[in-house]
Amino acid sequence: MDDVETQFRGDAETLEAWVPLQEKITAERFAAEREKIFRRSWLYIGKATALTQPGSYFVKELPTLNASLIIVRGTDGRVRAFHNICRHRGNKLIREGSGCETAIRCGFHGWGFSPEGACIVVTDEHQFPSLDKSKLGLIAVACEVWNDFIFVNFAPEQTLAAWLEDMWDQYPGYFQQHEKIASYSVEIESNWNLGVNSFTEGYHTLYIHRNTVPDYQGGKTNPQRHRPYMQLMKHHTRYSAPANPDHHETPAEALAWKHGHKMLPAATFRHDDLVAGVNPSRADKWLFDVVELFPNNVMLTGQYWHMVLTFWPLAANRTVMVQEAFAYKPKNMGERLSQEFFRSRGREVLREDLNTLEAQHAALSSGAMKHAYLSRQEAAILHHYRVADGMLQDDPQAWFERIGGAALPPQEKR
Amino acid sequence: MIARRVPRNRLPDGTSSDKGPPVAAVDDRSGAMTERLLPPAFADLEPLVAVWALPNEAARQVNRVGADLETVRTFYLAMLPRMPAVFDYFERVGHGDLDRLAPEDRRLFQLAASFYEASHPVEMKWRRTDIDDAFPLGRLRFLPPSDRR
Repeated sequence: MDDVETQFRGDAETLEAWVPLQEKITAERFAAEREKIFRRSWLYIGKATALTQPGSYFVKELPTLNASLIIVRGTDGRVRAFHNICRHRGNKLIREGSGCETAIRCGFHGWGFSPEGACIVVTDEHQFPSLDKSKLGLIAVACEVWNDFIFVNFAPEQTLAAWLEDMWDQYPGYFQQHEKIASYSVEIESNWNLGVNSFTEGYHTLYIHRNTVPDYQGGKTNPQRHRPYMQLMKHHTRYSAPANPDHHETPAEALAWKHGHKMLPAATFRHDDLVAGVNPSRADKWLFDVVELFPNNVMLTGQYWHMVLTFWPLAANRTVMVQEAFAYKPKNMGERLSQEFFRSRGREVLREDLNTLEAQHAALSSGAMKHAYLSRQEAAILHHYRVADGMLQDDPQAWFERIGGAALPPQEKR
Repeated sequence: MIARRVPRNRLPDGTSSDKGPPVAAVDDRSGAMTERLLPPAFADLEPLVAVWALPNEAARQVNRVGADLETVRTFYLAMLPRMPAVFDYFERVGHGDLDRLAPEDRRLFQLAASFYEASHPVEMKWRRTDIDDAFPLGRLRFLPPSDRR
């Protein structure tokens, strides 16, 4: 029996295997995380392809930060984010949903704003003394787009490019090849950290997923399913999952792969077809990658698909998880049908992953167990808490200097 | 059922190779024109349509979990030998847009998508039609496109 040793990149040596897990899920910790982590991090909030033309917008509620945002494409094509607040008396501009408008109008007193956020209509304007509309634009939130992913940051200390490090230019065109094929959300009685953690290690796959995907990973030459490669970045973690070349295909699955692209396992993939960021170590027996986009996002990247899981804490013990699955654009209806295998099996796998979180949170909340002892295969979890603790301990300036990010100009005051 | 004229030899992408006049399916007893449930080549599967040709992923999963294992297995076994022909049929449709399918083609797709739902408990040898140890289905909210197709 062989064993695969994980090739680590980044500082895995100084990770402490004991982690004080109980203290990570307290209300006190969450209050600090909200201000020092969520408010200062680039947060994924949706795909730019949803904004098809100038004036296209969607409303994004961010209960974690008590905020509602309007994400809108301007006439210049740029995607911007604004607080969903009328600058007149603070009414919520758009209640919910999405649409396309040449001007965003407030239902309260009829004020209007351009898709670029400028105040363009003040009704009965001569009744306002010394009116200066340039001081009454929508309140902007820093917003940048990376490969179709829209990110916002409420208190940016570095650019999105600096935040994403190596990954910034390693995925050209990759995500845009795919379209959304499935999406779900759940509200769980559990801490958001536990949610992220449950998707950033492969140790559990032998056990939790025995009823759905029992043999996609590992196999005879890697029975414990060690990750071939794991990269710990300043904030994020990326690793590759090992494919089992002896995976047994069921009849329904074999039909799917015969009539569409083989999405799992990608044991026969060609390196030439992959961008540098996908299977970054070019591991031979490769299934897909897992990327933790710190703090609250997990991406899975495969040869013909990717998934995005986002965890939005509502409180220390309540989290909303949104999952989105994307796959290659089918060129015929047979390929579309073929994707039904991946789509429906993937949902059942997700339901298994979600099922430990509430029980784990309840058990840890008892206070009986203060520390957890983690494997090297769980280094992404240890790194997640190392990064989080760093952000919680630093004052913003010290943290900024430590990560060496590029300075952004201060937000323009209106 | 809505009366509708269905051209003969109509290709699944909505075009027609038909040289002759369009004909309608006729209900023998009433004489009324009826819409075909499925494309003619798949008429043998029509008895499955009412239960299994459901409009979206959410409805198909709820239906599967609500059925007993024998019912799901019977459906799976009825569909499995027909699936290669279903794939061949759909490979001739030169786009992947469900909204552009004729109603009978859309129903065939929905039936085949239900086959994939059914395949999980049958092929993975579950004890029932839902997984043991999974997050409760009733708490999963289906968002677009899972609530739509």
